[in-house]
Amino acid sequence: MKLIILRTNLKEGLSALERAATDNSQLPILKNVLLRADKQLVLAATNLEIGVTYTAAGKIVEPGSITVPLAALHSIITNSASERINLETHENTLEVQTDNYDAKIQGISSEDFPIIPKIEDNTHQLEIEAAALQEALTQVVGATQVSDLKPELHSVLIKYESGALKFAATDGFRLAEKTLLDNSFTTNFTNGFSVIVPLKTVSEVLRIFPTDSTVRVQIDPHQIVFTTDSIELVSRLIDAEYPDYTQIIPKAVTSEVVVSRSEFLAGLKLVSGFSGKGSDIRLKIREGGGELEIYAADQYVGENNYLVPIKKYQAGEVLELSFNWRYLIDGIRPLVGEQISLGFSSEAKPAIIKPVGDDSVFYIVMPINPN
Amino acid sequence: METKGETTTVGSFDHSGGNLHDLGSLWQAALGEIEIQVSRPNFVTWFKNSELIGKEDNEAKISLPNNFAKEWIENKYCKVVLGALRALDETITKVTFVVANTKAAMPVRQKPSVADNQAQSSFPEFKIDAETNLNPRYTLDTYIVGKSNELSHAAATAIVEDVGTKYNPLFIYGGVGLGKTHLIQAVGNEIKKKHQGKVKVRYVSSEKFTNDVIWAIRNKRMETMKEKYRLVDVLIIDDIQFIIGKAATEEEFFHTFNALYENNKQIIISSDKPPKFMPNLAERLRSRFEGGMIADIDYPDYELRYSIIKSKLQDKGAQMEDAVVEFIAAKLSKNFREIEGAINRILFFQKTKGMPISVKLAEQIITELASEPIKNISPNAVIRAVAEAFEVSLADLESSSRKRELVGPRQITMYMLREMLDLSYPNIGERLGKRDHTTALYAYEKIAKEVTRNQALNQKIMSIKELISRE
Repeated sequence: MKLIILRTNLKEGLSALERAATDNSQLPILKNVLLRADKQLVLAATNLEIGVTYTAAGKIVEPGSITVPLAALHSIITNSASERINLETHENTLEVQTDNYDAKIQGISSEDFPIIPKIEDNTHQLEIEAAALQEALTQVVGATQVSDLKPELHSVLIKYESGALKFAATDGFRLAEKTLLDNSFTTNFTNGFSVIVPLKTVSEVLRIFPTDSTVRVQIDPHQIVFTTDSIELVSRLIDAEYPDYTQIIPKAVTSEVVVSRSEFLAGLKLVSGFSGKGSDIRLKIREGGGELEIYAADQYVGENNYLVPIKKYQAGEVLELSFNWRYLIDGIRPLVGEQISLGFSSEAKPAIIKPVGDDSVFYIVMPINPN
Repeated sequence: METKGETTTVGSFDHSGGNLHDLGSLWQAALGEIEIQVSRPNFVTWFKNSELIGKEDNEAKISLPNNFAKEWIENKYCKVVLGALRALDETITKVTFVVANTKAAMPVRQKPSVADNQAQSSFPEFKIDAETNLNPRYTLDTYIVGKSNELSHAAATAIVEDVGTKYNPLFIYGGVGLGKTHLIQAVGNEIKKKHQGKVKVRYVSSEKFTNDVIWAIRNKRMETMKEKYRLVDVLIIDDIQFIIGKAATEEEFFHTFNALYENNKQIIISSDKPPKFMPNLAERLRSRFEGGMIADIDYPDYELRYSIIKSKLQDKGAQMEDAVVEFIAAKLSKNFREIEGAINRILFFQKTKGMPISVKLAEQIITELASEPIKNISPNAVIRAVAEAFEVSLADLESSSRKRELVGPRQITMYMLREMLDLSYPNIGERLGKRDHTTALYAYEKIAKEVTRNQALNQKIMSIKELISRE
């Protein structure tokens, strides 16, 4: 294999693959990147859960292939100042050459590199702008379970039914759902689908696709693939039953207030400094409904409170509820729009947070129960 | 119990043209053959969790955990697999591969994150009962009774029938991990179920009770506190020993106790020791506790441990050789959590190895859990295993060379010699290139720190331990 490539092209490709490569004591080749030059240069890396392939433009002098440790090559390309990079293989060595630099990286034959699986059904697809896909995923991803005790909760649910594409995540304490209507994507799926995509895959989708690209999504019973002109990300799906979360969504709330999103966020951050180990803060609608009070106290630190002016207040009783402030911030931060509405019912019922004037997304969270 | 489960599975497979038992043993035999023909890493990576799921006419159907394995085996090992199967069963002329069961291989890496705030409610549909604070998971049906806990169990069951009058208070004590929480929560769940919401049950841990008292005092809201704990029909309080000595909390508990008791409300208490062995317990509380029924949960006997292991396996839908079950039951006698840990660990090994585990390996896994040094392993075996795992020569590893590719493996060797065999630092240094004991000490501390955060390293060490155990 022999080729000349622009440093920026190669660097972009290696960055996209960076997290797919992995240290595996049983199969050391998984920390390698596969370089295969044919008409174009194709880079690939996998951890056997996800596989990423990147096609880079370059001048191919002689076709061929090799695998080398991704970290080693990536570090060279990142630190090199040269614009053009020459790559050439000698047996199982990759020589990286610029005007004033020369490195020989010990590699492993590409024969031993895992084959990155293809999707069985490639006739059905869904096309969506990367920016829209990423915004939707960002708005729900905060509600996923951090631990992978339950793999299906350490994931995001992507569901297509009756013309709408839904994204959902929950860890049992909070739940986020985003709905995209068919004006934000095009598809020839005739049946609906419902797939559980691992959190790690979602993070990669958020990280590697340029926001101005268009992503094509295809699925088969065990895999999902995200494709753009230059990148292909294939991932296994979680084979489990996703909890029926629709029954959790409160149909009505007792009290509802509208506040400024940025002001509420600022208040939460400020007050949370006094919250204890349990991260609990109290929210209280002041009598008359003029202000929302955020209050936190700790035995050792002291107490503080912050008043957020209420822009709109809807009936109900004067309520006082405790929440984990981290959960509130996780839900509110990714929302777009200046005003948000908060709906409360009681200690035993979830609160619901939505941006005002945008019905496509909501976040619900359970209070901390003082009982 | 186990045989019953098996027959039903076999039955359901019969019509699809094969017998599960035969398929299982056929595949095990074929794997034995394949293992010889492919390298160890390839075997472990690609054939892990594979299964022969059907044999129809001349075609064998093999399930693999993911598409990567499917692609690879189809492309590289199809002939090997077919050859191995044909050698055992001449009628097979074709193999097909399917993907199934992609979640099987997920290792558990982290504990749930939110345990730091017990009061955080989850969606009630998901778990804890918000009104009673009980976890529906605990039921009397799943509580296994033996000699050591039959008194407690009998008293608890009697209460379900006769709330508030028969044994009041019911005081249950026993050591850590013997099932106190399970029993008292199960009673709560059972009462709630039986009386269909007419009886108000509340479960609370002592810690939570204490926090509530502090909160109420600070916010001058004692009446909220009273409402909460005195307007119930059954109050279950777990681990009472933690409120002893906290004056205000003890006082509040005393009043709560009296208020409930006088109104014939049921009180259920658990503790790690009987009232008479709680020196700081106020006399007025002690006499009240002793006025009801005191029942103990003792260390489980062998039979009880055996049936508990069996039932846990059934819950998990997993299997283990009888000899291994007997071994765990015989070896771990103090605590069910320990037993559960051992079961999980062994099942994890079984999953990754794809075959049942022997008593010998089970012994090592358990010994490791108990963090006692493994006596029958020689230091040389450890050094050999590390050398093999890192593909460096034994001589190099034991030499004084400071090449980078040797330093890492050598530090790991030092760590493992210390951790597994408890060798002295000077001895370790001496064995590995006549080094000073401080070098060994440094290496041990460095790796010990790293394994807690470096998952890859941890895995590597686990695989080396496996190597050692195979010797």
